[in-house]
Formats: sequence, structure tokens, C-alpha cells
Amino acid sequence: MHILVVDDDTDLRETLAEMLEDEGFRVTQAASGREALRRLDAEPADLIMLDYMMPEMSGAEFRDVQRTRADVKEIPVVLMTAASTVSELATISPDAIVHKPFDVPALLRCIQQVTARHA
Amino acid sequence: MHSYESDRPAEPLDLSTCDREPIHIPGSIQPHGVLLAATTPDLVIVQASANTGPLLGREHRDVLGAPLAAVLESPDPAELDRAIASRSIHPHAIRIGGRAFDGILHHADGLVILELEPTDLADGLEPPPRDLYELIHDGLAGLDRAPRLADLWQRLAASIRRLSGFDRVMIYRFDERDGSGQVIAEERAPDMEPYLGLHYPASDVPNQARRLYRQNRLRLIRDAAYEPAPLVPADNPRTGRPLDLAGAVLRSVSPIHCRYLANIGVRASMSVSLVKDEQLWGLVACHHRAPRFVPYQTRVVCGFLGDFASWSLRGRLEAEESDRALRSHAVRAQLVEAMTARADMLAGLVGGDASALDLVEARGFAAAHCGRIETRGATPSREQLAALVTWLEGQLGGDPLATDALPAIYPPAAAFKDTASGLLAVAASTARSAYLLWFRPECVRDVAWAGDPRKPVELAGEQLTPRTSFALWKETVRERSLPWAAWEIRAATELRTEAGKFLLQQIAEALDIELGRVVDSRDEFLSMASHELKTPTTTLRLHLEMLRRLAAGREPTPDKLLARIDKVEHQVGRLELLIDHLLDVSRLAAGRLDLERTRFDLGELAREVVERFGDAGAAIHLDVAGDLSGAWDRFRLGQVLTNLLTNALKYGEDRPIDLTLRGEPDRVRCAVRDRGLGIPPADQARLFERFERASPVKFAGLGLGLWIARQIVEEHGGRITVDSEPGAGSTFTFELPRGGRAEA
Repeated sequence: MHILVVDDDTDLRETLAEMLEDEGFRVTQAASGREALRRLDAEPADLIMLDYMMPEMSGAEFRDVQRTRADVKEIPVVLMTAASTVSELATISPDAIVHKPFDVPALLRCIQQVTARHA
Repeated sequence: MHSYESDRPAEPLDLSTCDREPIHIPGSIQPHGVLLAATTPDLVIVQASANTGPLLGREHRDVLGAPLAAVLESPDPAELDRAIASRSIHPHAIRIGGRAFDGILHHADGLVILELEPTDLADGLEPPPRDLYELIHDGLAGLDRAPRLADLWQRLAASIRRLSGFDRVMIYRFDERDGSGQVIAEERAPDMEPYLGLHYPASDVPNQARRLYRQNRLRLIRDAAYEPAPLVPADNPRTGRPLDLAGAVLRSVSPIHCRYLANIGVRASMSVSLVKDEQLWGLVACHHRAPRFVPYQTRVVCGFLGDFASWSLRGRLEAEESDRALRSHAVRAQLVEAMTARADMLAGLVGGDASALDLVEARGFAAAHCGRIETRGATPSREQLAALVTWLEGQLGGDPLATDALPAIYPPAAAFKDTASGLLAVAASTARSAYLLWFRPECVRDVAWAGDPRKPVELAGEQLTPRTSFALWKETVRERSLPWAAWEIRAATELRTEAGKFLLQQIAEALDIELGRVVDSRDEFLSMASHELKTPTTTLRLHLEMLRRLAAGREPTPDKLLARIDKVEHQVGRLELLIDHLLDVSRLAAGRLDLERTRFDLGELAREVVERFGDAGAAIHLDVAGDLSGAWDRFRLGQVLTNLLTNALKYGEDRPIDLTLRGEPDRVRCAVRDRGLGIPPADQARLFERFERASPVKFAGLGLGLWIARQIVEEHGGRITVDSEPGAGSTFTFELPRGGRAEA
């Protein structure tokens, strides 16, 4: 299973990638929404872990583009956010949300639920 | 004209000397009548004028000590008693030695004063042939119908001249400020020089004469060339002092006053006081070139006409006043509307159909606010206005500034006297430097004085005498405008209040917008900060997790390493909680906790929260009953439960914790009970305050959790309380109304 991790914070992104790889996932990384779209052009993903607040195309902007592209719009998105208000998240309508800070079991539970729903 | 009713010509004469003259006790009377003063109630004559011989046929020494009734051949004593007790305006018809007299009674210094005026004086008018009522009625009718004030005065002068037969009758008005007088209406014999419009210095009618004129409103000097008839004895035997003649119709006047009359060619003089609101505002002054006697009854009618004119003046002024008040109210309302509609004080005041110029009688208006100046009508130039406003900043406080001589107090104004010799200014807000200014042009006036007003007295040989020259003395008044009336100053003050209110409201609105901006940028900051702070803690957690796995993969398990990882993880947990609390406190302190209500079951949320505590949550016993659904902010209530349970675990001494939820018809109740240390009563009240902690030493933490919980519960319209017994534990209870509609 191929997961695309999108976050502008290099430390978190790389840690997350390493951890997911330990769990047996294949992981691609992107530092912005724009880069994520380029990665998806090159290779489709089974799941996108998306940060909310990023320079150079935020999570919300990425989502807007994603929904217009038939080839990638079905890919489930797990939003990683520190924001706590519903209104901020309503525009993105992700398949699942993990609140920063999260721990490994919570994250794995979330990935499991989303992939089960899309299976 | 009236001047110098003063008895001490030998002393240096100035105004203050005149003001001290005891003109009410001259000790003598005019000789055309007789004065008798009698004791009461036995009516024995104790003072008499020295001229009783020629007039009554009995010398004063024969009269003194005699009963009053014995001197008067009529009426009978009973009638005399009645007359003394009454306050009739009619003179008492008295005949003595075959001669008819008008008897005029009044009381003074504890005596009855009887003055007798013969009715058959050679220069006298015939007694009025008609009824007194008819005379009054005819006189009043003309006055009542006078269309303008000027007509009123003209008709008053004509009526009194007709009644009195004097050569000249003038209406003389005092200036409220300097006390000088001006002739505002005149009726005269055709061959006489007109006095209309002439000004007289204030010293022509000294202060104590004005006081006397308020008290005794009618005076007649039959012949200014008279020899006074002294009273015998000179002093009132009851008081040992000269008899007070203030109320006497025959009172002798100062020889200086008589000389003054002679200087202007007058033999007989009569004056009627014009009094409004207890103030002497004017006189009806009558002059005759020959001696002239006016019967008492006719004088009374003249007095009535003067009173009526004063009342009429007052009524007209009040009517004018209410007209002006209505008009200025209407203008003010229009201006307030214009300021609001244009959202600008200056534009509202100067632009539009109505402007502040309509409020008072001015030629120009300027409004200044924070360095901006807008004008309407004729005003000084912008540079001149800017300088004037700067000057005003040091002058104007709460009171308006009204001047008809701006150049006198602000010399640069001489340059623009043509537009602004008069200034009426108010400060709408001194703090915001907001001023309203009305301007009046210079009004060059020639003031015609009856003789040089600076030389009311002249030295003639060894004696001071009133001025002999009444030749027209013209003074030209410059750099002055017409004076501002009281109503105009009031109207300006009222507009100032409205403009001030408008400015305050504008400031409040601007502050509101500014506050909105501040709040927005703070929210943005908080959102950024939470993202920035929480991302690295997430990374930290993931690393810890991987470390734990690495350690777990080793054989044998390095216990010390695992214990350290636990400790670090605990610290990361604390850091996360602190971050959450700090962000919440910033948000809550600004009063902007926007609840996001959704419909959910509080029991389910409680279960979730307990689960989040993991192994630590094993001590929590959850007890749920009743309908626990409602519309609340799920995330925020999760915080409340977390905070209360965290505290209970922290202070619960590892004993069981009860989390009890109960659904009631309109609300839900949730209680968290621990069996720990408990909280002393003194600390319980402070518990929900910011940065308060019940036990500061034993446990660490910022003490924000309870404060946050309280803010969240109260924002939901609920309340939170604590019940604790030291040593037995604490119970925190919160109640929530089920809430209104859900937003999402």
C-alpha cells in the first residue's frame, strides 16, 4: 500500500515516513500541496496524509484541485491538523482527521478505518 | 437727563460718591403740597412740612401735636381710619379751608404719612374728566395692538404725553452691560430738538437712584426751580432719625439734579419706572419747559401703562424665545441627521440644505476637527482659521466663548475684522480638537452721546456741576460686531452637545472596527501558533514511539531505557497540555470562545474521554443514567471532562474516582468525585480563578484547567461548583442546559 505524506515540516514528515515504512507501508513525501500534485502525476497513491497549514498551496487548496481531477479524486485523505475548529475543517471534508499531536496507535487505527472503508 | 439726585455737591463728585447718597432722606419736600406724619393708631401729628401756613391756613407749629382728624375738616375720623387701612389707588378727596386736595396715604418708619396735593394749581392739568377705568382702558388698547416692540414704545410715549400734557416724553432703555441709556422712542412738541437715538452715560442715573426707582415707580418734579419745604421737626421723633421719604410723592430731589434739568432747559419732569423681573430696564422720562403739575390719578394711570408695557415686553420676549427655541431645535435635529447620514461631523454641519449657519444670526460658520476645517458663508481664510483654532485650544474649555470684539482679545483678528469682529465658539471635544465657530462682521456704529460721556461733571467756578454741554458728541465704535444674544449662545452650546455626542459615537465605532481587526489578527496568530507548537511535539511523540520499539526489540529488555522513555513521554504530555491551555487561555481571556454546537450524547463523550486516559483511567468509575443528549461544543466539553478528571487523578491519592452523569428534563448534570486531600473552604472560592491552585506546593501545573472549564461551562449557559471536605475528597459538578440549535 502506497501512502503519500504531505507536510511542510521536514522533521515530522520524515519521522512519519520512517515510522510508516516500519509498519510496512510504501511512503512518498511532499513538502507542499503543489509538490503533492506533482508526485500524484508521477504515481498514484492509495492514501494521502495531508497537513492543513502549508506555504505554497495549503491543504485546503490541494483538496480543491484534487476534487477536480478524476484520476486522483477518489484517493482517501487523512487530515493532520493542530486546528481545533470545525469551520476550518469543513471546507476540506477529509475522510478522517488526526489531531496533532497524535501517537502511533491512534494514527494506525485511523489508517485502518479509512482503507477498510475504501476497500 | 435725570442725573445727580445727590445732596452733597461740596464733595468731589464721582460715581461712587453718587452711589452712596442718601437720597431717600432729603428732610424736605417739594413745596406745592403738604406732608403730615402722624402716630398710629392714635393719629397725632408729630412731623409736618413747614409750608402748611400758605396751603392749609394753619402754621406748622399749630398743627404739630394736634390729632390728624382735627386738621382735616373732612372726612370723619372713621372714614380716615378706613382710608389708612385700605390700599386704594384713589386719592382721598379732602377739603381744608374751602380748598380741594388729593390726600395720598402711606406708611413709613412706623408713622402714617399723609401728603396733600391741591387740585387747583395754576399749571395743573384739569383733573381727568373721565372715569379712571376708561383712561386705563383707552391707554392699554393702543399698546395691546402694537405690532412690533418699537410700536409699543412709540404708543406708550404718545399715550403718556396725551395724559400728562408734557412737551416731551421719551422711552429710555438701559444697556444691560454698561448701564448706559438710550432713547428708543420719543414724542415731543414740534419745535423741540429730537433726542431719539441719543445715548447717556450710566452715571446720569446713579445706582442708588435706580434702586429707589424700582421701589417708587413714579416721580414728579413740578418745578425744578422750587424752594424745598423742610420737615419740622427734622427727625422722626419715633426713630430719632430723618423720616424715610422713599415712598413719598412729594419727596424733594437733589439740587444737583435740578441744576441738571436746568442745564437741559427743563422746568418740570416726570418719570415712570419700567421694571421687568425686578430689574429696572428703562424709564419713561417726561420733560416740560414750564412748571407742570399732573394730578395724582393721572400719574397712577401713567404708571399702569408703564407696567403694562413692561409685562407686554416680557410676554413678547418669552414668545420670541419659544419661537427661537423651536426653530433652533428643528435646525439642530436636521444637523444631527446630516452628520449621521454623511458619517462626518464637518460635512454634516456645513453642507446640505441646513447648515450650522442657520442656527444663529451669523454671516459665517467654520467647524474644525483634528486639523480639518470646513466653512460656510463669510469666514476668515484657512490659514487665519487654523491660527485662530490653535489659539482657541488654549482658551476654550467647557464654556462657550462669545465676543463682539474679537480683535480686543485676539489681536490678529484685526486683519479679518470685516468678517469676524464677533466670534461665538464652542468646543465639541477638546480632546479631539473639535471646534464650532460662528462669525459676525464688524459693525461700525456711530454712538451719539448727549454730551461727552467721559465728562459727566464739570467744574464751574468753585463748584462741580453736571455737564452744561449736551451738544451731540459722536463716538465711532470699530472692530466690534453686534453682540451675541443669550439664546444664540445657548443654541451653540446645545449644538456642541450634539456634535460631541456624534464624535463619541464615531470614536466608539472606529474602536469597534479596530477591535475586530485586533481580534482577527490574534485568532490568526493563535491558529499559527498552535500549528507551529504542535507539529514538533507530534514528531517528538513519534520518535519516542520508535525508540520504545527499538528498546523492546532488544534482549534482555533494557528496563532503565524504557523507564526513561516513559518519563520523557510524560513530559511531552505535560508540554502538550500546557500548549493547549495557553492557547485556550489566550482565546478565552479575549472573550472569544466561539462555541461550535453539534448534537451529541454527553455519556458517549465521557466514555471516550475516560478511554483516552488509558491505564490511568482504570480508577474512574463511570455511572450514566437518563437522556444525556444536547447541543454543545463537543471538543470544548471534552476539555472540561479531561481537565476535571486530570485533577481528580492528580489529587485523588490513587483512590477510586466517580464520574456520574444524570439527564434531567431540561439539563444534564455531571459530577466528578475524588476521595483525596480535599480543598479547604477558604481556597474553594478562588479555585476557578486564573492561575489559582488549591495546593501550590505539592503539585505542579499552571492551575488553568479549572478556569478554562468554568469559562466553557458558563459559555454554554451552565455553571460549575465545587463541594469539598478536607481529608474526605472533592466533588466538582457542572450543569448544562440542553442548549439551542446545533450549528453543524
